[in-house]
Amino acid sequence: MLLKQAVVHDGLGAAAVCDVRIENGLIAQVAPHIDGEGIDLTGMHLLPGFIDTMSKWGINGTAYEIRPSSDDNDEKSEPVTPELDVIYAFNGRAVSVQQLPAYGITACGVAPSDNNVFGGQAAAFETDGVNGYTMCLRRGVGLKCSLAREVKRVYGGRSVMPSTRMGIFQLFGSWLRKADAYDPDKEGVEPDEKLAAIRRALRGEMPLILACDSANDRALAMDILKPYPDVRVIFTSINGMDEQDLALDPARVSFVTGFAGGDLDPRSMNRRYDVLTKLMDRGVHVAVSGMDGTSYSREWVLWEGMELTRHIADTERVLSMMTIEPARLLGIDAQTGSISVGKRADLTVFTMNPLTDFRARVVRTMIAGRTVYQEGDEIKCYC
Amino acid sequence: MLLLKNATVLTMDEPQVIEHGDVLIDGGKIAAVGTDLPQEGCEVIDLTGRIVMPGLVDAHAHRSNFPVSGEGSGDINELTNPVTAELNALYAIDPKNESFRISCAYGITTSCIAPGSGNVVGGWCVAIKSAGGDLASRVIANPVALKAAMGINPKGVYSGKNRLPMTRMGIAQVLRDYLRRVQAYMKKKEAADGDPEKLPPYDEALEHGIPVLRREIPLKVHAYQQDMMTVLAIADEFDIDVTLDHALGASDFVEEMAASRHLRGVIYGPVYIGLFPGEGCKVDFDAMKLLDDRGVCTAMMTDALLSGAQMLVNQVGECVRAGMEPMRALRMMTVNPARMLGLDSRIGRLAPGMDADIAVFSAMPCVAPAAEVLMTLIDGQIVYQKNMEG
Repeated sequence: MLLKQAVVHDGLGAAAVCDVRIENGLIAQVAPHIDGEGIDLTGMHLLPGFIDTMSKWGINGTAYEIRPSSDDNDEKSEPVTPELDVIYAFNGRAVSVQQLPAYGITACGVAPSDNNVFGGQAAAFETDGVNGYTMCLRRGVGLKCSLAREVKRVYGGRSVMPSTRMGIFQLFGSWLRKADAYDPDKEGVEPDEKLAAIRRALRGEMPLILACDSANDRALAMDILKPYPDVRVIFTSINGMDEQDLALDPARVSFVTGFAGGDLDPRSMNRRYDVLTKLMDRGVHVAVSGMDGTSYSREWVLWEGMELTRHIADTERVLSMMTIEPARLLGIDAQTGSISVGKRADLTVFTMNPLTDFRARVVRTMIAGRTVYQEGDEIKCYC
Repeated sequence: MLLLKNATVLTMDEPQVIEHGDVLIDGGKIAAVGTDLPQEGCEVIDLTGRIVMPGLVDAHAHRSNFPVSGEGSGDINELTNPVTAELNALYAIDPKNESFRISCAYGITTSCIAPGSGNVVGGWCVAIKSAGGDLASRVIANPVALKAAMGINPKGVYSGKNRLPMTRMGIAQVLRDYLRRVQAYMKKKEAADGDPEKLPPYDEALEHGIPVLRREIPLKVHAYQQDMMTVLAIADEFDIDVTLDHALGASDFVEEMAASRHLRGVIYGPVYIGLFPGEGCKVDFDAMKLLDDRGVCTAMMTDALLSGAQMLVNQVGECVRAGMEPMRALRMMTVNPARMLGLDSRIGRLAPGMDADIAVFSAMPCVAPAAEVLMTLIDGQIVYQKNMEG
């Protein structure tokens, strides 16, 4: 397949009119002119597919089943479940029906809920398909942890530890210590999957994906993490961001910023994009998601990108926060996240630049070269 | 007097756009709209290159004491009886709620505050401004509508209590029974002809239905998909005006809506959750263009506090993406909701005599994603100015 003469935004900061050749689902060539017949995209804008960095797409739960039940990423039976893996929660049809490619989204990170101090391991998926295992781009992209008030709401409501912030932080710190001391190779040490999972994060094999309510929470968490220099942290929101966050070590932390569409949640009301851009200037990686607490929508990845254009003048830089930056945070940047030779053809075509004009419409979206949405496709709908 | 000078003025009136336009404000009202207005004796704000338009109207919101984090039931859903027509949303409102300050920052100057959707008939709705004095002085009109709800909300609430209505059959029955009782009550009052001996006992729930049956205010009905057709059928049966609120799935019923003689308008949104089985599963912003083309009055809602103030512009922007002309789309959050709420002689347009409720944008909202509110005025007072925020 040959895509001709679109304005190609590569996701890495550059934009130019180019031809793009796709072979076997991969980007084979990008050049000003490539000989051959192709799809004429003159005047259109070709972008890397957006990546919804942190989401619950593909998660089934109580709304879907004949019996009331918990969402499949929300094993709130006990507060420490690092051994769980969200791959077992993901349902391909449940995400496909959401038709995320109609808003340019070709991949998503999916994580356990904010209800457990250690929730389990996150993964990254394509956004169209049936079989979650073949749609999975990477497992174990991070260990989800939460220091947010959701934890004490769930367990405090049952009069079970942790019902306070003291309890939350104690569990967090003590399990890190236990996992640090855990050595499965030592004689007489019983295998422990919980400790093994946390140990992988302590050794830097996967980052901690950390839900926090405030700058103070983030500072406290980083203080607890001080003895473990290999741990990298992805904060799942910019909730409660203020100047105190400027003290965070850019080498160790990154942020996800979701569209704050739900103003029921006071934590996300005051959006300190001025602090966020200062952090970015210091080298902190920031990626966009379409989620705000429990609210989310397929439009919101683009909406958060549009919101960011009010604070970051360079729209190519904003685009990178919706493409290559999420790919980096999820560890799938070798596969996708930019229009680069050798990467998967996860692409979306808009009539205009969607970050500069509301009138931009998606005309086609591809996942690994397969067209999964074209303008005019019927709205998918459960009923 | 205050003069907003040299802006692109979107009047939502005739003429629609005034380039290099001025708006003169006097005593909380708009005194004049035009070009090169005399500036003697005026405080002048130069808005060269800016967009000046009417303050935005949020046609359906619950800015009030909403139930947050298990702190009781909140104040907006009185889930003790499926018909609570006697209630008035005014008493649920916390005028100092943070949400009003944020509304000002996003250009929203008026909200229609409605009771929640847990009951089939919820109570009276009130239109209030986002800033000003005490609550009473911020009210523009009360009531502007009587709230009703179809579908999963009342069904879910009363299924949990084993009480009518546990089904959509039950909901239609409860609503029709209420309207019939209002009709009978009105007949008795009419027959009494002012004779206190013959008057029926005063019933506030039925009193609140009288302006609906008289078509003075609409029944404001939470409805999605097929429920919207049920609402139009009941509106025909009782000869009342309705608005269809939320209205996801409207694209399936465009012709029916265009043909209705009782549909005062469609109030769309919010889009703040993935697509789920059930009533909210069809997100179809394109329906707003189809309806607007056929002359149906359309508006957008935030449903705040369920979703944020910034959702209003973004959702209307999605209608533009779906093909609506921007100037038509902007009506969805100005003159159209004002008309549905019966407030179009006071808000929603920039014309002499109208309230000086104004939003100043840096660029064309719903077209330029980077457009942001620079200043908001209510009754001629600046209630938000960018950079004055902390």
